[in-house]
Order: sequence, then structure tokens, then C-alpha cells
Amino acid sequence: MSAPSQIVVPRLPWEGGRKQMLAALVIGVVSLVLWFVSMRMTSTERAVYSWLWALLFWITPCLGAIGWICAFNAAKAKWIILPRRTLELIGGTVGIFAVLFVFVAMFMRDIYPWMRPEAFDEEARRLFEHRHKWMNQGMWFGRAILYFLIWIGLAERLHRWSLAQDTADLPENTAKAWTLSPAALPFLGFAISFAAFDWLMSLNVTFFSSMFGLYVIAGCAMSAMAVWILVTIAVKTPINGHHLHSMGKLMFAFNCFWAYTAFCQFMLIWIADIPDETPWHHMRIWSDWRYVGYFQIVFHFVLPFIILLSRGLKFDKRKLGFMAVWLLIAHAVDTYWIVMPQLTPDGPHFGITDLFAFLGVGGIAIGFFIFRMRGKNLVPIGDPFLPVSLEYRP
Amino acid sequence: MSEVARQFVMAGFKEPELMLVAAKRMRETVKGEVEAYTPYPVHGVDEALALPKSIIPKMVGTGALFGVCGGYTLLYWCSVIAYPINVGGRPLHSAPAFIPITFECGILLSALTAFFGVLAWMGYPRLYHPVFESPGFRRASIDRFWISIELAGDDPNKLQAELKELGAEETDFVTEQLQ
Amino acid sequence: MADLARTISPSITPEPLIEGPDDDLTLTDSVFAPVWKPTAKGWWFLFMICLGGTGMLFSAIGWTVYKGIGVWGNNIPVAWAFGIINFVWWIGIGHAGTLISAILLLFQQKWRTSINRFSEAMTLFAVICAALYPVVHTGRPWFAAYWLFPYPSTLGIWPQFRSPLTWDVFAVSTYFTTSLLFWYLGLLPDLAALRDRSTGKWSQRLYGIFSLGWRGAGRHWRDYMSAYTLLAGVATPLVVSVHTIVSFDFATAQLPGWHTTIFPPYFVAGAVFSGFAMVVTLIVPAREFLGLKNVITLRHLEAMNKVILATGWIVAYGYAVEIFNDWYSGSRYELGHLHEKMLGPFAPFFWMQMFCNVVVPQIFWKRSLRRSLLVMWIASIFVNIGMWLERFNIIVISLHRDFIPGSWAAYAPTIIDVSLFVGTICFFGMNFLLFLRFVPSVAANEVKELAHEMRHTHV
Repeated sequence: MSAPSQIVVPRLPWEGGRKQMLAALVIGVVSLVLWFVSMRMTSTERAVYSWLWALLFWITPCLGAIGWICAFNAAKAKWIILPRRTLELIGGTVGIFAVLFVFVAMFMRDIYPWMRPEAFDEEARRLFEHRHKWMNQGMWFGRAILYFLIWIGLAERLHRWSLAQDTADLPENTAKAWTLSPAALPFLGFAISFAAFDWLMSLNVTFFSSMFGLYVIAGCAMSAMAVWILVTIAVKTPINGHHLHSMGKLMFAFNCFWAYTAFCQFMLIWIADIPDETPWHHMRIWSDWRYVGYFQIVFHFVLPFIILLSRGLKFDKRKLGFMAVWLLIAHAVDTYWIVMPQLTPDGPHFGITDLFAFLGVGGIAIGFFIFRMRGKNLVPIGDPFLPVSLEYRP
Repeated sequence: MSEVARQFVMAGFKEPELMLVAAKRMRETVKGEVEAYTPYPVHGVDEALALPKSIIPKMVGTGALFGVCGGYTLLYWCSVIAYPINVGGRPLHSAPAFIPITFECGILLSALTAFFGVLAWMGYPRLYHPVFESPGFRRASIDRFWISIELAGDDPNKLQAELKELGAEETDFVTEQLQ
Repeated sequence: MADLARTISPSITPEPLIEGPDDDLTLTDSVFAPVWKPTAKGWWFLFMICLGGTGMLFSAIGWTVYKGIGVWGNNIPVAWAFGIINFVWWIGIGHAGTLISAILLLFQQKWRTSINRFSEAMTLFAVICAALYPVVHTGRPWFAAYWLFPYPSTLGIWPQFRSPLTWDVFAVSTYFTTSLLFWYLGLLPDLAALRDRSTGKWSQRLYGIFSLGWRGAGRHWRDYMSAYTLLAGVATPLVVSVHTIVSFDFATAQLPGWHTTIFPPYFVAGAVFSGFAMVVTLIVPAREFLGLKNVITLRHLEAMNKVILATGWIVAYGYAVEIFNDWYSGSRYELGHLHEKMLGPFAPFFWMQMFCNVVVPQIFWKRSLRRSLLVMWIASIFVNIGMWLERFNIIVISLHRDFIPGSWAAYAPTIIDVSLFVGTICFFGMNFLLFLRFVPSVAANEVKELAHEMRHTHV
């Protein structure tokens, strides 16, 4: 083990990505402006739905990344250290979403039915009054702030402990991260779940499902792994095949877990057939949305499952990168399927607002992400267990 | 049965590393098949013996495929064709309700294929094998690392001497006992 | 490497997984010692108790079959009670075994090595105990085969595959079969080692036959490891699916308290939670008496306590989200159920469950408590009780006051119910004692492999 490693760890801060950062920011800001324009051309409701979808798609990998860091630290996993810095920064991107979320908050009246009880029938009004103590504007805002505080605080704390190790000999920061992370996991889990209840489940008046939070968490975990794989390949972190294989395995496993939560939630609601719960799936099955559902079964689960079973594929950067892009596209469809049927129950109508919202949120988030990566070591060179990670060979 | 007693030159090593070197050398220099025996899986045996990849994953994959297809067909046939009965208004062909058993059938067939497939592939049960003739081989399952070379025209004495030189703790020459 | 890390910070360096002797012969013999030693008096004492309990179990089964299942306490509206509570409890205990042996293998967790054999055996015996209940609950167990399996009977009747109860049959039988095959395949090299270390003629022959003539050839290890890893690979989704399907038994119904979508993952986590607690309950005394302290170290126990803490939090998440959704739903039946659960006649059981499953595991945040044998043993018993109560509460509280107040009724188990439950515990204990006596309870070949690896990383 004392033999010198073959891998050359870059000791200098990363200064690449300038062009990409500027391009992303330009696309993001221009799309944001166009999104505003398109709001005037279509309807506020339509545009805010698009924005919520784009926000959901882009924020989920960041939330998943925070969860992964905490989970790895809780398990004291050492193999992830070499590529860990980019994962920290994916999680750290969550800060920009606190700003982008403002548009949802500003126009929440247009999308959340419980903000407009005057339009309700009697039964919906009863539910509204029953939930009002919890689901009102003040509480909703308060909780949103709390969620962002938890996410940003956690991501920044862990990132800064790790960053401090680059320049000073601080092995105790590793111990601190190992202590904080397991304790933070319950908070993180509840924050993501209740954010899913607040922001997504409450789009529908009657729908409730205790699995819904976990369904969103599964998507977070899978998409975070996919983004992490892509970023690791893009910035050329000197990982070996086993790192890549393990990352691919986790992406595969959590894609299966996503399918598991989706199936259980659907099957239980379908088989029990209780009128309160069924509308949510009903509008997704008895309309053109069903083709989106079929698409997800085949392209989000069955085909990736069969392809990712291959062991050799997970050692290959190009092939695994391709599968990560594939799964992110599937994840975009999944998030679209979660948000949009409430707006257009008859079927998907992909519009120009969707595109601008997607590019706007994505461009700004990616630009911010590259901005934060620049000038930093993309390998945590001060971590006491970095040598263990370099030698990773299970 | 055509019975020709096989003969083996055997060597036991204290350290797996020595055994690996010897196995590699033997494979490259002698005509007969070389085999290594270890108490636990030792890293590097596959390379030393130049073993091809295992066939078991393909076997199990086939088993799983049969399980999944067979399971779903069984459910469909029972519920839609053989005994169509309305329960709780659910459609006769209730795909969501058929998934759990289909899944279990896939698992069951994979597990059965993995277990019986690997035993058949390795040729077990086989209680007698010529290598058991060597008394020292009893430690091959405990703390010694053995190799055997099936004789195919090499001189057993020369081989034994060579193996001793490669660090063997003991060597042996065994002949199959035919019933 | 280890030295490097130790000089940097002692608090973040793990202690070794195996202590003491590290040449392979001594290691093998220390692992096999319980098999060679003459049968201890204590063993006979425990065995006799368990044998007596097993007698009671079979008498209770006999009486049930003779009189009919009316001798059990369950009746409308509590149509399911002890039978299914104990079924779920035992299956859950079984799951930890698979988790330790298969999932930790896939995650390359080295600490599983010393305890996997032990927990796999636990799985097998627990699943046998579990499967007894539904089979006896059919009332005529000899008919169970063609009621439950798609068997071409002359009546032309086939099982009703849109019911989760038939899913259960497939899940549990697949689970038992796979666990047995996985356990036996893992045992092969050790049976060969026992054959080669034993001196008696009969033990040589018996272990020789059961080892199938294993000789540890390199070609065989390649295929063997491939098959073993694949079995672990299929066992992992299997264990998840089994408890998922068990949860479907409840969650597919329309009954408040049963029908909630979080049930599948929360049942799986609960199963692992109770199963790990059972491993701790059994392994703490077993390692004392069998002299296996050098291979089952405090580090193993600490790791298990961490798993208990982690899965305890998933279970707590399940409780919280379920309660929130019951309230959020606004359905008067869900709200009624919530009220019954927290304030009804069985409410003390509910609060006891919360205490055992949510409060007690929190002591494991503290390292010294995670490492105290007495504390972990007591805590693990609390968790076992808490998880039994969880199933009791799900089943009895939900059923005893359902939609129509006119059909409300209380529930109490009969003496037969209790005898069956105590009987399965004794039956489990008897099997476990036989296992400890005749089979090496630690996988010698894997411990040696680990020791070999450790020697090489320390040099």
C-alpha cells in the first residue's frame, strides 16, 4: 500500500469552464426574460407551472447530492473522497434555488388551489378548512424558508469543512463531518418530504399519499448520482474504474428504488380504489398522459434496468455517461409528469414557456455551479483518507 | 466406462503468493492441466491459471428471463383463461396485481439456476477425487495452498524437484484409485 | 495506510475486525471449537426447555387442527390477530439475516463476515416459524398446498392471483428457498474444512457427504464466487419484495390504519430494525458462551447498533408521515382511526410502541452506550417488544373499531394463541441450539480471507 500511487492528483485550483459558465449564464438570463415575455403571451398559471417543473427538475439533483454526502459520511465511506468535491458543489448549488423559488412564491395564488377557496365545491371546502391550520400562506412560506435554511446550511457547512482541509492540516474536520452528517439526515429527509407535500402534492385538492415524499427523494438520489457521474467525467477527476462502477451501481440501485416507490404508490391506490385518492392517478391514466406513463415504464425503468445490469458498462466513462444523460432525460419526463397534469389534464402540451423555464432555471443553476467550482481544488487534497480513496479497489 | 487412472503431481505451499508464482510457471511450462486449491478465494488465481470468465451470470440471466416470462404467463392463463372470475371489480387481466408474483418467479428461477447450475457446472457432488489421495491435501481446506498438475507426458520427479525449488513445503505424486 | 491515519487523528481510525490469533489454523480451530467440544450442561438445559416448548407448540397446533381455528381469540371484527402478528414479526426477524449476508456483501462491508452465517441461520428458522402461522390458519393445512399454489386440481379452480395473500405464498416460499440455497452454498467450504479437521470416521463421512466433496479448486472458486455474489444480488431485491408484499396484505385493503402508501418501505425498514435487534439479543450471549469474542468484536456490535439507529429513524419517518397523512387526508375514517390509535382503549400499546421504537434507539447516538453489552442487550429487547407491538397495533387497533360502530368489539388472545407464540420462540431456540452445536456459526473461510487481507494491508 505504501507504493506510490499511479494517479496524479491535480494540486492546483481548477480554472476551466469559463466559456461554459458564461454561455450558461447568458442562456439562463435570456431564457428568464423570454419566460417573462411568454407569461404575458400565454397565462400566468401556465408559466408558473412551467417554472415549478423546471425548478423541481433542477433542484432535485442538488438535494440528492446533499443527501448522498450525509449518507456517505454517516457510513464513513472513504472511496468517495477523490470525486467528493464536485458532489459538495452540486449540493451547494441549492442556494441559487432559494432565489429562483421567489417566482413560485410570488405567483403561488395562480397555481395552488388552496389559495383560492372561493372556487371550491362543498367537499373541497371542508378539506380546505380542515387543513387550513397547516396549509395557509404564512405557514407555507415559513416552512419553505425552513427547508432552504436546512439545505443551504448543511451543504455549506460540510463544503466549508472540507474546503478548509485543502489549505490547512485539519483532520478533525473529517471527524466533525462524520458526526454532523448522520444527525442531519432525519432533518434532510423530513425537509424534502414536506417540501414535496407543500409544493407538489398540494397542487391537487384531494390527493394525499404518504409515499409521495419518498417518491421525490428517490428521484433526488438517482438524479444526483447521474449529475455527479457527468460532472466527474467532465472535469476529468482522476478516478479509477472502480469509483465509476460504484457510482454507476448506486445510480442503478436508486433508479430501481424510484421504480419501487412509483409502483407501490400507484398499485396501492389503484387496487384500493378509494375515491379521495384516485383522481391524481386517474387523470394520469385516463388521458393522453398515459403515454407519458408508458414512456416512463420503458425508458425510466425497464430498458435502463436491463442495460445497467452489465458490469462492464459501468466501468466505461462514455457508456455510463450516456446512461446518466438518458436517466436525466427520463427524470425530466418524470418531474413533468408529477407537475403538469394538474394544468392540462387532457394530455401533455409541451409549450414555449416550458422550454424557457427549463433553460432559464437550468442555465442560471449551471452557471452558478461552474462559478463556484472555479478557483477551487476539485479533489479534496487535504482529506486524511484521500490515499485510501486513490487506492480504491473493492 | 473407459478407465485410465489419472496421475497428478501435487505441491503444497504455506503462502498463497508462492503458490501463485508456481502455478503460473507450471501452466506456462508443462503440458498437463494445472489446478490450484485454496481454503478461501485467493486474488490472482484466475490470472495465474489464465481462467476465462465465469459462465454463471449468463446462466442465471437466462433463468431469470424464464422465471419472469413463465410467471406472467401462468398468472395470465390462470386468471384470464382457465378460471375467469370477477373479484372486487378488478379486470381479469390486472397487470399491476400480477407484478409481485412475476417478480418472485424471476427471483426463484434465478436462485435455483444459480445454485444447481453452479454445482452441475463444477461437477459436484463428487466425493472422490485423486487429489484427496495425498495426506497433506487435508490442509488445503484449512491453511495450505496446493496446486496439482495432471500428468500428460512430463516427468513427475523432475516436476516435483522444480516445485520444491519454487518454494513448495511438500510435494506428492498421486494416482487415481479406480473402483 | 492505517498507521498514517492513526497518527493524524486517533478518533477517526477504526479498530481491527478480528482480534487475537491470526494464523489460519488457529483461526479455523477457534471457529470450529464449539462444534468439537463435548456438549455442555448449559446447552442441554436450554435444549430441554426449548424441546418442551416445541412440544407445547405442536400440541397447540394439534388442538387447533382438531377443534378448528375457533380456539384462537380472533373473531369478527378482529379477524386477524396473533397468527398474522407473529407471522409478520418472525418474517421481519428473518430479514436482518438476509440483509447482513447479502446486502452488506454487495456494499463490501467487511464487518459482515463474522456474523453472516449466524444471521442466515436465524433467517431460515425465523421463516419456518413465520410460515407455520398462515398454514395453520387455513384450518386444514393438508389442503393448503392446492389452495395456495397453482396446482391443477380436478375441481378446475385456480388461486385468486389478484389478492396479496397469494402473492405472500410466492414471496415466502421463494424467500425460504433462496435463503436455504444461499446458506448452504456459503457453508460448503466450511463443511469441507470440517471434514478435513475431524478425526472420527462418522463425522468425516457425514461432513464429507454434506460438503459434496468440495476441494476448493481455483476453477471452482471462480464459479462459486460468481454464483454466491449473484445469489446475494437476487436476495437483496427479494428481501425488499418479501416485506413489501407482507405490507401489501394490509395496505391493499381500504381499512384506515392499513391503507397507506408508505407501508411498503416502512415495513421493510421495520423488518430490518427488528431483525437487527434480534441478532443483538442472540449474539451478545452467544459470543460469550461460544468463545467467539475475537471474531465477533465490539466493532461488529457497534455497527449493528448503528443500523438499528438508522432503521429506527426510517421507521420513525414512516410513523410521522403516516400520521401526518391521516390527518391531512381529512377523511373522517382516517381521523377516527387516528383518534382510536392515540386515545382509544389500546392507546397504551401505541405509546409503548413509540417509546420502544422511537425513543429507546436514540441512546445509540452515544458511542459508549453503543458499545455497552448490557445497554445494547436491554435496548434490543425493547426494540423486539416494540416491533411486536407495532404489528399488534396495526392489526388489532385498525380492526377492532372499523367503519360501523355496531360491529366494534374488543380483542384478547386465548391460551392457545399464547402457546403458539411461546411455542414458536422455543422451536426457534431449539433449531438455533442445534445449529450452534453441529455447524460452525462463523464462516471460517471468509474470516480467513479477511485475516489474509488484513495482514496484507498492515504490512
